[in-house]
Amino acid sequence: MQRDLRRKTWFILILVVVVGVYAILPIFNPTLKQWFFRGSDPIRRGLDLKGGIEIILAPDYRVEKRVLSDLETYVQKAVAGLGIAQPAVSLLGKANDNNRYEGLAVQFASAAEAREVLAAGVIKSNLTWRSGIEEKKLKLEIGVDQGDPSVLKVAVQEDPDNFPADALAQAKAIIENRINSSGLAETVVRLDQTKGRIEVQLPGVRSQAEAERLLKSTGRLNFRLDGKIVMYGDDLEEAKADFDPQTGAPVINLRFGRAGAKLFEQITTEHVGEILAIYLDEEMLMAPKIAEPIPNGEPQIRMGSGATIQDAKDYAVLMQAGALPISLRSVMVTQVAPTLGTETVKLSLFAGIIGIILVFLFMILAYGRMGVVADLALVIYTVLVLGAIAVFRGVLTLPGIAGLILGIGMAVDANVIIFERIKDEVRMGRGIHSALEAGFDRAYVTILDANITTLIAAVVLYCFGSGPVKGFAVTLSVSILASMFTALFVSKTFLTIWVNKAPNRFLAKYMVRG
Amino acid sequence: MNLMKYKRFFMLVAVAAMLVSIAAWAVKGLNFGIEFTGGTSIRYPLDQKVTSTEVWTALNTPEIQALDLELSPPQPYSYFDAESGTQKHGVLIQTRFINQEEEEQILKALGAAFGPLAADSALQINQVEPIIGKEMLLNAMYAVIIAWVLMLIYIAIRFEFRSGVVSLVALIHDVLIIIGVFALLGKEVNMNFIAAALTIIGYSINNTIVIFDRVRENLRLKKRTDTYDEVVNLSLLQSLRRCLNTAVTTVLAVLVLYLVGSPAIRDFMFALIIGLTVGTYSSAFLATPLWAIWKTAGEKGSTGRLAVAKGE
Repeated sequence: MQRDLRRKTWFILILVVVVGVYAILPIFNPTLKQWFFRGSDPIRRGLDLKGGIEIILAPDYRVEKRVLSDLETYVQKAVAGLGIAQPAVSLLGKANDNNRYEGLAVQFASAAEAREVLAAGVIKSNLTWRSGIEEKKLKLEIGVDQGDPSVLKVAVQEDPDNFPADALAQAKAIIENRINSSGLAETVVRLDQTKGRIEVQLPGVRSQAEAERLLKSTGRLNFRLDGKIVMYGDDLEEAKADFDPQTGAPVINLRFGRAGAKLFEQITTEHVGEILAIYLDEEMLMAPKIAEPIPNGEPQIRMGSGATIQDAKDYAVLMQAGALPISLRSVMVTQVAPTLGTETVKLSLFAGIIGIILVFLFMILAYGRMGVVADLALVIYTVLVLGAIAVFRGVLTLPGIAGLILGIGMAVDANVIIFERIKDEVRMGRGIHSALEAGFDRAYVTILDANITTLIAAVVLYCFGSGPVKGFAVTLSVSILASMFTALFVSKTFLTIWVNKAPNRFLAKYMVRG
Repeated sequence: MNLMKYKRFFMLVAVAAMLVSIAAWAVKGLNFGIEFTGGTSIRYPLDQKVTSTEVWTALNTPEIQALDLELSPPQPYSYFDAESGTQKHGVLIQTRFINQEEEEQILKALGAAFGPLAADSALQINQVEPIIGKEMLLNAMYAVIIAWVLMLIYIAIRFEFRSGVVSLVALIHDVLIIIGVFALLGKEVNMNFIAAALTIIGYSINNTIVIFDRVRENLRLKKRTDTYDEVVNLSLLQSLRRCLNTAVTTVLAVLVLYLVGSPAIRDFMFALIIGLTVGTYSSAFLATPLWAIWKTAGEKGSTGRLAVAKGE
């Protein structure tokens, strides 16, 4: 019995020391930080506590103006077939937003005409648009405008099938490369396959402009002959600014992969003397003339007169960056100033420490010596929880702190349940040793049932929740497990040792208080 | 002491609180944050206190009007920064989902009116596409509902079906009241609110289970003549001290965070304080009496009638 207790005490002591050295000491000691965490914080703070920018990117399925203008012609034709006067057609959506629009607004002379067109079903819901090598399957959704019944809204989106299935995964890899090359620490690029989104976290970045510079571009590089896309930049392996060895003028050297090189050879052979314009999405970067067929997939673009090497570099960067297989748009941006994050952490930490001290005092006031044991257990609980978060490389966010607070509440609660039980047993006339055993036995079931129920909630929230809810669920689960361990194992060990040492004093204390 | 003598009163209070909350929710509606509605919110730090009108005027330039930003009235805010010991100010501006150029225009106009931002200023910008916002809210709600169903199943297995149902009623009570309070005060319902609601759910269910555990144990020792009311009363009395002690310690920790903590988490802590208090109440005085009434009515035997007779 005595030996068993000693072993348990050693186990707790070693566990706390190991976890403490691993997870807590590095916060204060840079050398240990370097050893264990390669210089980053043991407990990583989420963007809300650290400052920085989080951007969620989604594929941009909206269509370009040039597609919509063809669509307008289609709508006009369809309407003319019904013998209705030509409607006024305008673009839906904000200008200047990736140069893409949500669709068309078609204004008829009357609501009756709009209804007639809708009922006739002359505007199909699936269309295929072709131009050059481009072929886009379009999905159209037609409805009467809620504000003005004489307007039909035609929402147009590209069919996701237009893009390769792994387009997003490729895009993610490319973005990851760009960000990693910036040397920014602790960035995160994550692909949510089910929702089709890319989440980018840039800690320490202060403005959207800076973030945009890091992401470079979310557009798609394309080559156009006579306004029609003949080739995409997906296969562009390198774009580099250089000086022409003969003339000394700045040039851009491109290099394509095998498939791209072949296509490029074909295009340049068939169209010598024509202008091959280079676009990033809908924005023209440059319009070089094809001087000769280029068979090796390594074209050189000579810059116009007056261009500097810096211009060449800027274009090269844009071209290289544009090699995304799919256009992306940001659907969510969260920007927290680094100072605000630090402010939040400092204040919360300060408040948290005061709060814990108050809890400690309360426990001692309410439970005397057992309160001291509970406080000790609480300290160990805190070390273990922080350690677990560090080991699993968890991220602490504001909702996560809520999880921790709830956890402290539960850790205290478990101790309170046990102590009240022991008191009950003592009152019923048991000796202190058997009261201790019985109290723990009874409390065991209670604590297990209560915590498992909460754990179920935490696990479900982790599986189905998004972002902040997940963070909450992680810290809550860790807290529950740690609080069960500290209450049922640590508190029990310490209490037993204490009771063994001075059973009578312990009992006396109780009877007076109880 | 016979707590169950007041069971009607306890439940009346809970039901009244729920009704008031529903009314507040229905009448005043919820002030959803842009995380759920979609849009942009900018927290712009300022050196001095400003009025909403001043900011409104600053943003009323022709360039910004041309953008059609759907500006809602700017909300100035102030808070005490314990670290520097100074009062800090700022203004919250909310618009539709804007792009980078539009954002720069706004920041430029504010900088022109109130002086440029310091390099280490506490600027905060959130942007959410409307579709994503709706999706996040729905996701959180689905998660909560699935969690509730699974908890119900677990409680039904470990205790009984009735316990599971009344536990859920208590949870719904807690969530409704916290929604009601936020509706009444017009406080913003955002992701932090959801986190607070989840915390309260976790806390409340934990509390309820601890009491039901006592009931379960006392039922085993129950004599034939004991009514369910008596069993519940005994269990409540036995676990009351534990409930109060736990509630006091947890609320204590949260209260300090509310009073001293950063302004970013103040509403969040406020929700927790309300929720923890309400959660303690609902576990002891809604779920448990409800269970006793249901159980008594369910058995309809002599014990049941006796219970009513004795209770009054």
